[in-house]
Amino acid sequence: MKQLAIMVSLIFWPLSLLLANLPGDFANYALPLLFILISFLLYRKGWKYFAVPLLPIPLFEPKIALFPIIFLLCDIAFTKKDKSMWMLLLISIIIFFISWKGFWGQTIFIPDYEARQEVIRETQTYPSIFLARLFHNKVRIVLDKFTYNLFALTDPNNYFFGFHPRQIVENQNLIKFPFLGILFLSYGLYFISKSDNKKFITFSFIAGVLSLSFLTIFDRNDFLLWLPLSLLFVHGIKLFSKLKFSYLIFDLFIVFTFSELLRLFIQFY
Amino acid sequence: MTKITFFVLSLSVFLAIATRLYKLGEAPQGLYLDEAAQGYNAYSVLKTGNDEFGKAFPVVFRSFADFKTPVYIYLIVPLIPIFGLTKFTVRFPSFLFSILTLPILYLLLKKVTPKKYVLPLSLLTTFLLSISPWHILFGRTNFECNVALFFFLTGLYLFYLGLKKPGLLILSAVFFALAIPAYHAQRVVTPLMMLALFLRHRKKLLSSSHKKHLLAGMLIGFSLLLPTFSVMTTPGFLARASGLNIFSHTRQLPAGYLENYSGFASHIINSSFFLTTREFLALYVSYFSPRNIFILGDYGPRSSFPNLATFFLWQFPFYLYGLHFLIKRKDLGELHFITMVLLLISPIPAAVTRDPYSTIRSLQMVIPLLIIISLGILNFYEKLKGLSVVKRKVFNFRLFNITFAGISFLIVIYSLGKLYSSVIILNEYHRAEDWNFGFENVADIIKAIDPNISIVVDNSRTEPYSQLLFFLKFDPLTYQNENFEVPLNEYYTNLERNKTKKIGNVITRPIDWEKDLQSVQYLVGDSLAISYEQIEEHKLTLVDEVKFPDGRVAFRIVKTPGEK
Repeated sequence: MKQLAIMVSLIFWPLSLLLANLPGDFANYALPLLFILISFLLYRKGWKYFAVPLLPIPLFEPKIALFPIIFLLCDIAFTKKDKSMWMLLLISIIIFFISWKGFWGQTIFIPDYEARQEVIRETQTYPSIFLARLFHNKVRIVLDKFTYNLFALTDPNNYFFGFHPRQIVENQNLIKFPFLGILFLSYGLYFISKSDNKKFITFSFIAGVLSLSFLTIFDRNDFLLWLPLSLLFVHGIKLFSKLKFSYLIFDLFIVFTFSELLRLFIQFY
Repeated sequence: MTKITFFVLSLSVFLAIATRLYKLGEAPQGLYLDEAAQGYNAYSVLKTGNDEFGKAFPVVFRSFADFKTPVYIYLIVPLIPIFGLTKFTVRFPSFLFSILTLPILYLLLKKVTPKKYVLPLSLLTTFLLSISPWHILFGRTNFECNVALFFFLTGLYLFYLGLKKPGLLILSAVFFALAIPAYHAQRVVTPLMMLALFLRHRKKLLSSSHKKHLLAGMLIGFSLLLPTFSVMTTPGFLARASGLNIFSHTRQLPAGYLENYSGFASHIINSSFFLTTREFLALYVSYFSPRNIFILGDYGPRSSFPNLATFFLWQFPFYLYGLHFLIKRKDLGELHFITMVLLLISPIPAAVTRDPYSTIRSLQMVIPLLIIISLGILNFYEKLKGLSVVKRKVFNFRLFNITFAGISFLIVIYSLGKLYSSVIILNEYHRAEDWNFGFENVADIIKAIDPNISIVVDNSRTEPYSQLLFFLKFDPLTYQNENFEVPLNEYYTNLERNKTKKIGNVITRPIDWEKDLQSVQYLVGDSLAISYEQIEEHKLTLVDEVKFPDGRVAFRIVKTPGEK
C-alpha cells in the first residue's frame, strides 16, 4: 500500500500536466527537470560537483536561467566554500548572460503599461504626494508581482487543490498532488531534518521558487518543483508508514486518489 | 506593574483607540444595509420594544432573507439615547469591544505564558493586536464577530482564573454563554474550546473543590442559552448556516462538479462526499496559507481594505519563525495548548462555508497568529542579541538596542501609514459602492422635497428600505403598522419576503415605467434604473444626483411630469 501511495503521488503532476497540454509542450516543461534529476542522482552518489548538470538549463529554457545561480549560491552559503564552487557559479553567471535575452522578456521587470497607469490613478486619490509615492510607485509594481508569485508558489492550495476550488487564477489551476497527500507532505516537512536528501530538497526548492517568482507567468514552468516536493512527499510517506494505524490513512488516500485520477482523465482526455 | 509595562500597555491602548476611533462614523462613509438594519432594529426596540416586524425582543433578528444574532443589536439600544441614531452609534460596540479585547488578551497571556516569556510576549502580542489590520477592520465597522471575540476571550481568561478560584468558573460559563449567541461562528468555536479545556483540565475540574462550581456554571450557562435553544431548530435560526455551508447543494453544486459528465463513473467522479471533503480541506488549509494571510486577505470588499491583507507583510518571516518555534519547543505549556487549539479550531466554522478566506467567520484566529508572530519576533531578538557584533556600545547605549528600537519605530510608523492609506483613503475611494454609499444624501434630499408627493425608491438591485428608515429616523410604530411580512407566530419559521416597503410617502419597489409616469411623483434609483436616456425620453426633471467619491453616479432623483 505504501509503494502504491508513492507511485500514484509521483505520477500525479506529470500526468495532469501531460493531459492538460500538448506532448511537445510537456517535453519543454519536463526538460529542465531532467537536468535536475541527473543532478539529484549524482548527489545521491555523493559526487561533489553534483550541481554541474544544472548549468546548461538556461540554454534550453532561458525562463528559469536563475535556477542554477540560486542553487549554487545556496550550496556555497550553506555548505562548500571552495574555489571550484565559485568557478561553477561564475560559469553559471556567464551562461545566464548568454541566455539573457530569452530570460528578460519573460520577467516581471518588463515595463507594464497597465500597472503604471494604475499607479498614476492611485496616486491621484491621495492628499499628499509623499504618502501616495510611498505606497504606489514603479518599484512596488515589481515588488508586488514578485511577492504575489512567491506566495502563490509556497501556497499549499496551489499544489493540492489547484488553488481554491471556486477560485479562478490566471493559470491552468492544475492539481499537482492528490489532496490527502497534504498529510504526508506536512509530515515530511516537519521531519525534514531526518531526510538524507534535505540539502538537495531545500536548495532545489529555494532555487525553483525564487527563479519562478521573477517570471510574469510561472504556470507550467513550476513543474521543476516536482522533484523537491516529490522527495519530501516520499520522505513523509516513509515516516508515516511507521505509525500505528497508518494503513487506514493509506487506504483512504488510495481511494480518494483513484477518484482524482479518474477525474483527471475525464477532464482532459 | 513596572514603568515599561505601563508604557507599552498605554501605548497599545492609545494606538488601538487612534486606529479605530479616527473617523469611526465617517469611514466607511456609506452604511451597509446590515449595519442600517441592525441600527434601526435597535432604535425600534428602544422606542416600541419590538423590532421592525413588530416582534417583541427577538432571540434572533429577522433581517432580509437572513437572521441576525441578537447581542450586537441589544448593545446598540442603550447607545441611541446617548449618541442618537447615527453611523457612529451602530459601529461603537465594535469599537468598544475591540479596545476591551486588548487588556483581556494581555491578562490571558500573562496567565498562560511560561515565566521566561510572560511579560515580553503578553506586551508584544497586545501591541500587535492594537495595529492589526484584521482586528481594526472589525473594530471600525458593524460586525458582530468582534464583540463575540471579547466574550470568548473573557470566558477563557476567567476559566484559567477559575482553576485557582473555582467560583470564577461560573463567571467564565456566563461569558462563554454570551459568546455563543453573539456570532454564528462562536456556535462552533466556543463549545469546541470548552471541550478541549475540559479534557485538558478534567482532573482539576472534577475534583471536589471545583465540581460544584463547574456544575453551577454549566447550569447558569445553559439557562442563559435557553432562549437560543428554544429557536435553534427553526428555519430562521438555521437560515444562515444552511444557506452558506458547503454540505448543502440545493442552491449550488459542489465545487469541482463535472456537469458535462454523466458516464459510468459519475457516482465516483461527482461523489458529493468526495467533493465536499476536498472543498472542506481546501478551505481549511487556506486559513494557514501565507498567501491569504499576508498578501491577498479576504476577497469580500467589506471584510477587507484595499491593498492590505490580514497581516502586514513584514510579519511573514516572524510568522514562519514563530510557527517553527511553537511546534518544536516543548516547554511552552499552556501557551502551546491555547495557541494550537485556537489555531486549529478557529478556521472550522469558516471552512464549512463557501467563501475562500472569510476573515469574519475566523476572526478568533487573529489571536493565535499574533502569538506566533510575537514568538517569532522575540526569538529573533534573542538570537540577534547573542551575536558578538551587536554588543558594541555608543555613548553608554548598546548600538544594537538603538538600532533595534529605531527599526521597530520605523516599521510601526510605516504600518500606521499603510493603515491610513488603505482604511481612510483607498477604501473610501474604491469601495464606496460596496458600503452602500449615498443613502444618507438621498435621505437628506427626500427630507427637503415636497412631503405631499409620493416617492418611489427603486429596489431592483439593492434593498434600500433599511437605510432610508435609518437616515430618515422614521417612526418605528408607524412603520410596523404600515408594513407586513409574515404573521408574528411565524416569525422564525416563515421565510417569505415582502420586498415592497412603505415609509410614509416613500415606497420601495422596482420602478414601473408605464404606471409611474402617469402621476406626479419622485423616482429614486441608481444610474442603471434611471439613465440620462430615460430622463430625456420620458421628459423627467432631474432633481439631484448623488455621486460616489470617484465621480460615478450613485443615485438620481427625478420628478415625473405626471402625464401619459
